[in-house]
Amino acid sequence: MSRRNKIKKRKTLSKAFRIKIWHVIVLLVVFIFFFLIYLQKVDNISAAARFDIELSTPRDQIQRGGEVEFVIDILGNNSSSARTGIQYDGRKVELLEIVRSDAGDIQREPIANDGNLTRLIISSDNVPVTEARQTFARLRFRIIDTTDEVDEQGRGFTQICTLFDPGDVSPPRPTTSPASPTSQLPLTTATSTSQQPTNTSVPIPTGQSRPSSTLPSANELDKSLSCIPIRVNGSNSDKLDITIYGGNYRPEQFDRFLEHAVRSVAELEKTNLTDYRSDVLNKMNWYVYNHLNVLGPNEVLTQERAQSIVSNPKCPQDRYLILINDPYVGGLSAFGIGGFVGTGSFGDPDYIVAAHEWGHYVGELSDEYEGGGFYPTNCTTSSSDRNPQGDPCPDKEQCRNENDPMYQQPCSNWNCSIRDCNALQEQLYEGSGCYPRCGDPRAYRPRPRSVMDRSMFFFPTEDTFKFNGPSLYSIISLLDRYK
Amino acid sequence: MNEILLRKSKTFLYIFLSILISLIIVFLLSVIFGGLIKKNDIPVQPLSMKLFLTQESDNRLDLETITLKNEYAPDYQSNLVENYYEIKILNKTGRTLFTGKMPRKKIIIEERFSVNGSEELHNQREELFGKFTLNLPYYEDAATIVFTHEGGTEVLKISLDKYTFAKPEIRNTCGDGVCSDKENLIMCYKDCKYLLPDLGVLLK
Repeated sequence: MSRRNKIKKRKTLSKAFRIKIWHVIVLLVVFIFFFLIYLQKVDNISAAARFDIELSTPRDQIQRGGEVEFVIDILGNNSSSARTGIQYDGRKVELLEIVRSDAGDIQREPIANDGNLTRLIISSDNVPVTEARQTFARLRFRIIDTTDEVDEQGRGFTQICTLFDPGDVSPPRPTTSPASPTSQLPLTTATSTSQQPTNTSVPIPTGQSRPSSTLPSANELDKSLSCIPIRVNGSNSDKLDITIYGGNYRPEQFDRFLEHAVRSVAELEKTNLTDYRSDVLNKMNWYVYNHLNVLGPNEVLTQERAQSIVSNPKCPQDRYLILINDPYVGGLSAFGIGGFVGTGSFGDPDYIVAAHEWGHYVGELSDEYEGGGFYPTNCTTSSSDRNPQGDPCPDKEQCRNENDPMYQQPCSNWNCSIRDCNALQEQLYEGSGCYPRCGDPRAYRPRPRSVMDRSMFFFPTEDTFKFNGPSLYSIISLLDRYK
Repeated sequence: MNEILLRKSKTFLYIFLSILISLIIVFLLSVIFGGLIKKNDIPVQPLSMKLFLTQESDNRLDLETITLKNEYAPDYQSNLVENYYEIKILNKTGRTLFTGKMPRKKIIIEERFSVNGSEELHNQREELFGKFTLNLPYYEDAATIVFTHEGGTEVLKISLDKYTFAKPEIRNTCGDGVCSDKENLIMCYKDCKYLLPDLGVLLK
């Protein structure tokens, strides 16, 4: 090759490899893509510290003149110094002490006192850097109540103490926070970050924060995985993980089991929880335990075996659901632990038994038909002034006269015009009434029909596919710490 | 002809280099910030401390034994307001690595619905756990586990230095369908692709 040819080739090469602007753009786009993925994984590191406040004194020990203690926890702290603002109703309580905690000595800085609200900032420069929750401070108050709103048993003791962002110049008014509807003393909790305005004790439902997504069909699931994702919304560290097990399905019925598993998740999509995606549905991950992959393709997973496996979880499992291949319609649930559903429950497209059981084992809700007992999450024994009599929607019968004003006035626990409610309660309790019978003839339910009764089998109405306001409040409060 | 070939190879080279450089930067960021800061403060997955406990009638807990297992531990982050134990895992300096809440009693509702005249049943009961196992997240630095009653009374304190654990070999979990904290889209696409937003739905 001649020298001239060599020079020509070198020039051509040099020209060809000259960096152009679009090369830089490609590089940037690719980098940003990977960097966003990276940020998603280390989100916890860079997140600002969050604070939670919670009442630690048992409710039955609270009375006028007594003392009450709140604990402020700090979460996801990435700096040795942290500060948050607290505000409390000075007419009802007197701050006695801020107790040293995991964060060492606490400095306090009063910033305002407008007569009713007292505000101060507490800070520490000795906070351990950790992702884990730790106690930041303990606040001890005496209940003084100069308002006559608090009786001897502490009833009326609400709107006491909340957190606010120290950088926020006009913090919101104190609010109460998650509490069971019938509790005499709603717990006061709130969350604060060091960067955002707070008093976000429980986020207000924002409706569909993400586009509604469709669930995969059983055929679309990847059967090669040990834990088959049905719906995954984020890291298992941040979500309530529910694993579905199949009991008594023969190996050749594996596809049928997967169909039932998808159906169990899809039933929630038929309810009004779709209006609360960011507060409920997107806080959960759903997996199927692939016993064919784990135990062997010919092994039948019996109900008993499935039950023993749930205590040795091979998939992320904050709750479990065992589908029992048996024609019965119904299930069994343990609050906060898990549940069973008989596959006869999938015999009709309008049945929502899996969603009903979810209401028990995740939402900790009572049955709203006569079941022999009730819990104060969605039932109450406090009637309204109208003293409603007779059930306008008797169990297994058609509704008659359910719009009578006698039933439409909310029971006192759900009536925010006569009791203190936080913003979430005000929003969710709206539309509650007072209908006799809720798990027990002595108790009242807030709506004539709901997911938690059994009208799905007999005379379903629009309400049949809705969790009522107090139920939603309980569910959202329970899932508050999940992202 | 040569020039066309060169242009094509140039394009491929730039794309390859872009991906390579990006991967290196992201990897370094992960190691520097993710690895070093969180090293001892994130639970090792899927590894859990399995506690064999007995619940007494007065709600005290007794520990029988404790082992390490290749299992996922629940995170116990439900915001329970009553009838719960608070669980804390502390390191040697007393710093809290983990807190969570678990129910203090079992509330069980069993129901068989009567459709078409089938048998009907409703049984509601509350019971203590009795003997039970509990999976807790495993931290390399964990030194103490404390259980307290919701009123603040300590019901069990476990000093982990009294126990010697046979640490099971941590299995490679890539391919189990779970994008655990140590995995990401680059390291284990098969598990972590489920975290990608559904583009089809977004476009709708």
